Amino acid sequence: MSNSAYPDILSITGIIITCGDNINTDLIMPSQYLDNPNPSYFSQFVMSGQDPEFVNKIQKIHGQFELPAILVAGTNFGSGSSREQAPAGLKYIGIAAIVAESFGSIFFRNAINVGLPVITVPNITKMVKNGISVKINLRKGFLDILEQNSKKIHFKPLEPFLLRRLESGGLIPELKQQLKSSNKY
Amino acid sequence: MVGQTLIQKILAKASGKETEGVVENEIVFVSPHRILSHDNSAAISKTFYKMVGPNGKIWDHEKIFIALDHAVPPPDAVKAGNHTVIRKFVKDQGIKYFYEGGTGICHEVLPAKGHVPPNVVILGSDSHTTTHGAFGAAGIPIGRTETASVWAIGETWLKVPESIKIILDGSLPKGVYAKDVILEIIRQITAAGATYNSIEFYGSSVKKLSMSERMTLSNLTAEMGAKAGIFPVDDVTDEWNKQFEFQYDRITADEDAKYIKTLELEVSNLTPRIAKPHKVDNVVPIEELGKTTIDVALIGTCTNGRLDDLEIAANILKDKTIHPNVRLLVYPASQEILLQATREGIIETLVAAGGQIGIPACGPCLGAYGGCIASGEKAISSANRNFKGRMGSKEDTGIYLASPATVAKSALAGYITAEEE
Repeated sequence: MSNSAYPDILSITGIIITCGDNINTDLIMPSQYLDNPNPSYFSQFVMSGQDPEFVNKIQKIHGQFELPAILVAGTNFGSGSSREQAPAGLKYIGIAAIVAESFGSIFFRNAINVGLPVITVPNITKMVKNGISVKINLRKGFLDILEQNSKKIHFKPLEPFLLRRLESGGLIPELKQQLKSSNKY
Repeated sequence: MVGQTLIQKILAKASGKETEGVVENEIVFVSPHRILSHDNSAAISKTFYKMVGPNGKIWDHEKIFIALDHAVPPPDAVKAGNHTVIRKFVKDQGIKYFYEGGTGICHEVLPAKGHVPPNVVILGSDSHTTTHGAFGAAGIPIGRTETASVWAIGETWLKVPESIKIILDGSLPKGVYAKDVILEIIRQITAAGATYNSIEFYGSSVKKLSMSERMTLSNLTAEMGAKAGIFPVDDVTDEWNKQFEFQYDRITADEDAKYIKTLELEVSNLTPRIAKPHKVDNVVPIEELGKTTIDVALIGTCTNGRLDDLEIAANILKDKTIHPNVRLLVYPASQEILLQATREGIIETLVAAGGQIGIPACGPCLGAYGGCIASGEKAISSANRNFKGRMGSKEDTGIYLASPATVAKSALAGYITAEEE
């Protein structure tokens, strides 16, 4: 899915898909698929160490609801190896944001750097379930559960410079623009 | 100024805030003393040119460190091609500190070649960059795109972590090693228990730990989610640093520095520990593990592939032969270690016992090549991760993590044991 489907990356409506605790990057992006740097290749195997049907499930969500998927995870999501193909692959298959109880810190940075919004909400796995739709406002820091009388869950928004990075589409376009305007290159 | 922990002092220095200090969760912009990467430098270099354009230049040719270690020697043309891209990048950009495949694992080579003085920030595009905390530095792992950005502009942001204090007291009993200590710590703190935190090591046992043993501990702090795992500089560090021309002060955490957690561990009664598949915090005392036969025994990696590790294994395997159902793989962490182990007869002992000696590099740890396990097989390893996929492991296979001594003893017995034959 292209970014044009989301006019504002900081305001996202999507369908929840859940996963458990301690999903490490070896499970998200197994090392045997990392030789080919093209995301169209390695993204086929996203989460295959955890759930071989994961990519199909995401495509089903897109087909059924015409909305992106929002991944809701437990604690320590993306722990382990620093491989950036993990968030890049998740983004490529159409995950619009990840909400987790906590993140592995390298994964958290990598996700923002590839332009994939990540949000920390304690106990989130107890508040939502598979298949419901939610709206996330990253700027204001709330998550609206649209099917439970619009229950609002608040979270601390990311620092403004990280929100800008997400708006730029990640660190590559952001820095490119920054260096261009500073006439450095 | 509020009381400063070691990580606060190091980050304050690296961000020009030495006088006022920094507070927990404050965002600071730091410029690293070195930024480390390995085979992933091929991808990083492509990202770098996307950012800066085809004629862009790196920010400082003396700060970037690259060692080829993940696919060494390259098992196929694609991985060989990656190395070609890196060599060209190194040449085009005039990068001073490039280490060819076979020199060793990045986390071994970086300190051994004198790139890690105390009190500095080392950034690394590898999750085990925490290893450099052994030298009193803040070794902090980051990702690829971010590494490309540091190559371009020389700095990145860090959130000042909250700190955990670990106090180790007592003397290690015979047959119990640094690896057992850190596995026990991981059991207690858990895989997510130090996420975003910096760990500091104190206590009477710490003073007796060699630099190599400290590296094992700092290396594995990554498996608790830690951002850094730092040893305060002491006489052991000073002794190690004599081989280099470092200028530094011994910094210490302030007495009123704040720690969110303190873990005290008396090591005198500790027994060997095993991390069972497929999580590093799935740790049990070895006596609680049922009889588990193994197919592969691996000694090596950035966790436990140093001279003392090989020597411990050789002392156990001397004049013996490994079990006929076991393949023993030995990957010295660097060329220097391999050379020294050869001179001391350690390699001869290991080969005579039936060991297969690999080229100094990461070996099969990550699971791409170099001794993967087949469906249904089990491995005991001195590495740092037992996740599914590591060493090619699957649902029906498994990796057990242990000290090099336990790995060697298990290779002799054919099953996991810490008993001498």
